[in-house]
Amino acid sequence: MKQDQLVVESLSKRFYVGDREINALDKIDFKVKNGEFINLIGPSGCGKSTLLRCIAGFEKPTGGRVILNGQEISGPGVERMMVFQNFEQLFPWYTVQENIMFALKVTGRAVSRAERKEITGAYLKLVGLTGFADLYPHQLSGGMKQRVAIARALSVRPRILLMDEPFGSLDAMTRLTLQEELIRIWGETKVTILFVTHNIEEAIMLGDRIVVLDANPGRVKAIIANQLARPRSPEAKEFNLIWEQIHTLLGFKNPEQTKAEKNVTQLFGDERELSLLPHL
Amino acid sequence: MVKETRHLKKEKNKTLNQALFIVGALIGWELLARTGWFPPLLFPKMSEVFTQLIAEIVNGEILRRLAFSLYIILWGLGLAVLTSAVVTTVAMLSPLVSAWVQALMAIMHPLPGIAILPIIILWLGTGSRSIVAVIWFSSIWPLIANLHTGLRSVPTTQIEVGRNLGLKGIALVRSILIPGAFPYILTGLRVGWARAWQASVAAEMVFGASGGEGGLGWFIYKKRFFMEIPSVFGGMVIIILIGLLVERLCFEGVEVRTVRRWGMTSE
Repeated sequence: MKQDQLVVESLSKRFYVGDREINALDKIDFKVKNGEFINLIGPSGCGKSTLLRCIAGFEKPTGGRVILNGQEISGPGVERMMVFQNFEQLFPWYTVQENIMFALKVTGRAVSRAERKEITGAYLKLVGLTGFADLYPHQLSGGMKQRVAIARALSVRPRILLMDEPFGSLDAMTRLTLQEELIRIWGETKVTILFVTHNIEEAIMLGDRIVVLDANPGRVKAIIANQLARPRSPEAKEFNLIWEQIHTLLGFKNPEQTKAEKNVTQLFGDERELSLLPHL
Repeated sequence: MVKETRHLKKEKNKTLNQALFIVGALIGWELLARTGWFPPLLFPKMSEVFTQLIAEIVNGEILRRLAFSLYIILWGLGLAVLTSAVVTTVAMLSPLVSAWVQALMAIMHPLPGIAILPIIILWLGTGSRSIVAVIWFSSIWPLIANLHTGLRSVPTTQIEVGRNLGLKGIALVRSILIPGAFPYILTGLRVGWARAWQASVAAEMVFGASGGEGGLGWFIYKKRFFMEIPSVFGGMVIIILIGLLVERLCFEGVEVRTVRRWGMTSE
């Protein structure tokens, strides 16, 4: 069988807000296999973004470690590319093409300019942005910006793609399109994906497994295997079974009532983590 | 496309309008001077100002003065840019120094550069060195302030993308922080340049030139001394023209090619 590629070993992260100690992550353990698509879900403040940032190497854990292909990680690295929620992640002074070519250049992935151009073309095609190469980021819609960010991250051939609510600021329609696109891209590139979301539907639509996190202390509450056949439909009965399972795990009491609310939040689609506490 | 051409047409109309206004004002001036209501010595005709200006250009005097002014300003501004780069770098590395720089900016910002001239003369004498020092002092604060704010305004996400790609230290600064801070850097240079001009003209008017060398400020001062008023106005015209030229050709040119193309302006 496939080997464990990423191992998160009793990872902890504590920090202080004023005098209050926040146990953002408390002894998190899980493993990711090569080529897997994992979703991390949890209430606001459960430390799911912190977890991803620790794996990316942007933040140092206070305890435990992250091992990628047998090696403990100690800082940011090009084999773990992050795609952020923030639209500002593209460099505004570069065109779409230059953004990707820059990544290829500084990582030494392609030596000659011609080669960089060729690879860039291939990745723009992968995300469906052929013909937009010479536009500047400010001329793109939010969805297109996220596509470029995905193309740029993949172009340097990371072993694992870390996605921190990449579709969290998109409208519901664009979000659905990009979810489908991401599944296709994942299929074509076979890259391992770790995807943080606070949207239950999104988690069920995408991943092979769903890691459900608890807030304060941030712990793994459950890991749900999601064997639903693709393409997945929210109308399917099994979909709803998983939905209710996660919903209960996240601590919501009344599925029917919150299901109605959930549709509203999904429509607006840009609910962000404003509070460190679970809302509700 | 339609919107763009309409926008262009609007801009064109505006420029034409402004040009007409300036021509009108000049003609108004000429007519007012011709009425004889004011002493011609103090309020010369515009035509006379331009004739005199052309004469000063032909005999080379005003161009020599201009060249000297630009030379001195480039020295002062160049040193100020260098100093601000060093100071900001150190401030970025140490929060302690950053606090000092902020305190220093708050203290020095309200002080016009020209105010330090008497002390500078005592320290450095009345040569061009003193003028360079005043220019340096006048332009350094807006440069530091803008560079400092600019570097801080670069989104964390962009810096993290850079780090993700393996950039750190100087490489990170050069390829991400500087372009990211560029809108502010450009503003800093603009303000610094304007301050440098003001300082150079003002300083030369206080103690003029040493050894016959001086810039446009000295030119205006000297012409007034000999009551050659049309030349005094001529000197001002040159200062205005250089200001417009640098703004239009340098700063606007750079702005259109960079900040505006990148959509990094607030409009």
